[in-house]
Amino acid sequence: MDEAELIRRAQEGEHAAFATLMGLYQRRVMSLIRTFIRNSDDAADVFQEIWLRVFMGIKRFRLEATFYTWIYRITVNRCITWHDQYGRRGKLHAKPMENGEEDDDWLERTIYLQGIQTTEASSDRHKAAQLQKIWAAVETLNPKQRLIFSLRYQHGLQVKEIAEIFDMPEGTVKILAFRAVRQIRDKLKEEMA
Amino acid sequence: MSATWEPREGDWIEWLDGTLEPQARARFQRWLDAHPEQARDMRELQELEADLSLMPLPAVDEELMEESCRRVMASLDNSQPAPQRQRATLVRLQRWAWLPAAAAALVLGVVLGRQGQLTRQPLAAHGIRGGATNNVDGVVEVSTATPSRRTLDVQDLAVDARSGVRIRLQETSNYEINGSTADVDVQNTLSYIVRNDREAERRLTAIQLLDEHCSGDGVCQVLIYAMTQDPVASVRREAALALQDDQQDAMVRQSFLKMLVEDPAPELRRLAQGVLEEQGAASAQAQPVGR
Repeated sequence: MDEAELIRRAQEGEHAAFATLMGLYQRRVMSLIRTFIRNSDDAADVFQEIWLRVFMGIKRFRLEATFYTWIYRITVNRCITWHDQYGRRGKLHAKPMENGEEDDDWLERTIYLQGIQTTEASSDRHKAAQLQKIWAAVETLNPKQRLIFSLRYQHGLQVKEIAEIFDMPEGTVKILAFRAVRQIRDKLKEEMA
Repeated sequence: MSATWEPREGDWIEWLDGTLEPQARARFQRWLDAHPEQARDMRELQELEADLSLMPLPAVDEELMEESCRRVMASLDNSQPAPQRQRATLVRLQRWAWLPAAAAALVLGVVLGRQGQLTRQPLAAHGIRGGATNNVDGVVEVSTATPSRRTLDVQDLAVDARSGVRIRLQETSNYEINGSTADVDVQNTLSYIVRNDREAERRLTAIQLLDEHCSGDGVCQVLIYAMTQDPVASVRREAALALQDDQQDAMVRQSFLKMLVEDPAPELRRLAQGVLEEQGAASAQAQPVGR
């Protein structure tokens, strides 16, 4: 069954079709959330809320539009709202909440899953260290830039698609992405100095 | 090339992503040749871009994701359309029904005031604590309900069905308020009851009165509080019903989402889903844009 058919069925209220759609995109959504929210409970809450929003809005979704950019848009909007509500108060890098697990190991896990063995060849160790430095610099970006960075370089989206997600001109996306790269470069330089 | 030419930010971006026009590219290259420091800067950016494009997606906690998906599907499977609103406990009044009566009261007040018949008396004269009183035709009106008093314990709370605009709140001892629900102090008292009264029945009635007669952000916030925080399901339900027509408010939508995900009562989760779906359909009609 193709995606359009799944969407049609989900629009008619078929939960199984919606579950299949969720299966197709859940990893991308969760990955984007995790670039933003460290606390695992918060990430899970936001993830659920996003999919409930997708479910609520799917009846209004027009099939001629791109489904995944629509899901990305909902995710991006929710992440920014979350940041406005909690991130600015320091929760972004704060200690875990009552039941939340502050996941500081996710980057190490990512490096491991990428097959970069930090204990073996020195080139791999260097690569892993470089990734950690880059990520530390990424975390200094503002929310919008960080999301644009993640969509462009980690999720591999085109500028046009990112522009659609953020509802902004392509030129603006290019400028924000360029400034993000320059800021990361400056942070890395500072680190080296 | 002009000696003073400097590349703009856009030139740097187009150079990096390879979309600069050949002529402009040549000009930029000449500029870089003449500015070795900037050329080094450009190389660094190019190298970093190459590194960045190899950045992996963050590793996802599979267990967490699967559990979250299960919860989403459980929320949806437990949901059905919202029930029709039911109100039998109070006489339903039109939202603006109090206006003619209030206007009449105002005219009466002006007339009596001119005749010098309105007298301000200390509350103690009526055995009432707090606020100022007017005694007109034997009706004691108290304009201050001291809602901040934590010991407030209202025994009787009812709409005067005859006038439709007065409420009576009676405390165990000698506390009585007869006022218009248009009075902000009375609204505050009702809000206080919703948040603090020990008796669920009174909280419920206060919600109904607020919904019937009062409006504004403050009322909305109190209803959101009751809908999401009250320990009794019937009170949460009443608050949700009072708010279901205010879906254009982002906080209200958020509260219904919260109810859908977190409320322990399946009936209320179903109600929230129905309300959100209804709102979705209304938005689609109002704004026929697919995304």
